[in-house]
Amino acid sequence: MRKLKETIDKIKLDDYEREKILHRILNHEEEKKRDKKAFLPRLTTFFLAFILVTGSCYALAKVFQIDDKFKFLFGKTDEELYEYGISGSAVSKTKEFTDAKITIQQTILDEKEIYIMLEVEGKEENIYLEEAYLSSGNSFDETILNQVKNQEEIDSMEIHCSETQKYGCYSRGLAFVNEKDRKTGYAISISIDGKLKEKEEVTLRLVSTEGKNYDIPFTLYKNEIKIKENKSVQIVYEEGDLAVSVKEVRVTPLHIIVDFNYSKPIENLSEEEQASLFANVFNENGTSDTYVTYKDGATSILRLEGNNLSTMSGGIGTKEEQIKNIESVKSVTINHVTFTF
Amino acid sequence: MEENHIEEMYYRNVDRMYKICYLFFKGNKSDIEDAIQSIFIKVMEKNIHFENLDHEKAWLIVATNNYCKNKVKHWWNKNKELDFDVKEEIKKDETLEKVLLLPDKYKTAIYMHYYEGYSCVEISNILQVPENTIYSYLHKGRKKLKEMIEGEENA
Repeated sequence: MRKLKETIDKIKLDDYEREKILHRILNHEEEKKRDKKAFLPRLTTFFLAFILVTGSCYALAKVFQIDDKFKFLFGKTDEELYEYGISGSAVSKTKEFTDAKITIQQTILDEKEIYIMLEVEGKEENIYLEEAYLSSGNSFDETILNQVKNQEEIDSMEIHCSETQKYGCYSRGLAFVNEKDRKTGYAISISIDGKLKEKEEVTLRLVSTEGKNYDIPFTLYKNEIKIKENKSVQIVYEEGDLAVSVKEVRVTPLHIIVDFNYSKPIENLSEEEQASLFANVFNENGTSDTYVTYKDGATSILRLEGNNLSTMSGGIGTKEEQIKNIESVKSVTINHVTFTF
Repeated sequence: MEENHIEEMYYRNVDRMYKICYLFFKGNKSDIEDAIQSIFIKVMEKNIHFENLDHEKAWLIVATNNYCKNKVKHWWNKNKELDFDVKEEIKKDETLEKVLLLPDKYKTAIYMHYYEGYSCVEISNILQVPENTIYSYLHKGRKKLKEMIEGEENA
């Protein structure tokens, strides 16, 4: 990798280019200042146009026997899980492989995603997972799966669920690694887009970082769905005339997901509009308009994926730290409009 | 934000941002310039306050990475041909040519780890990506690079 370092080192900006970009930046700042003066009356109008249209809260829930590990992961009691509307089914299915023993401990579902708690125990060494896919039936349609895998940019929320009830879905997950006993606990989520039947035989394919497949068939029971909170808000960005309305805010066990409606398709946005959205989404310090607020005042980056803005409420760290984070998520603020949970 | 303050920040970070943009935009200079300009304009407009230089550096790496990823998602960027001059320049360094061919999701992790010297934990915190995913990006990125180099040697 020394060669790689040397290669990157060769990528250099020459003095002329360096000064040219700086000149562009500083000149652009001047233009922006002039633009902003002219823009102020409109800006004021836009601020006044922040309208809270409707607010409705649903707490549809039916609590099944939630595994203690899930309760521990989410840091919630039975009553609090009821408030979240979490439903679940214990699975406890173990399958032995030559180099690993994998146990699916529990699944819970909401309308769009399935959350699976599992444990991977490496026999000789730790096994780390990178991807997970779910298929209905006892096998995978390799053609469909390959189509999914061959996508260049298969980032977290790009999903492919075909009409033939085969799913190949990338997962997002939290891993709890215990180096000493070679056991790794995972809480993963897979997008299912509401296509599961009431009771269904499915196969979970886990793919390790080494590229090895582990297929585990099990029965999945669909239970009641919950939406923690659902509010519609009409907002107007102060930096342009791009109208963005919030279709839905959902708090799931692992994510906060905000669905947007844009006044025009995202691919048709001008560069300035994209930059404005982009900045609002990804700014991570207190001056940003868009952030998740934790109890302790820290903020976290939200991610924009298509029309979905989402953040993992667990995130990074030890199991205890993640539980603390999940417990502490109290509100999401989008351009001064706050959703309180 | 004062002009001299921006200038100082610019000189502190522009080389680093240039390298990241270069990896994503495959050396296309106009795209790189646009990216750097847009990010600094946002810093100025939002009057972002950085707690210290480490925070500034990490924020600009994340912003550059996000900007580039966002841009290359568009089909016209995915399918865009390299400028002839840029292509020639890249072909002078075969390793660089291979690095540019790596899937975009591996590029920042590889850059941050092997060039900036960040640990996987630090990269995971900065990019807000699980630590295991960073390990995996590095592992797969290295593997792909090796395959590309070996593939050419065997051909």
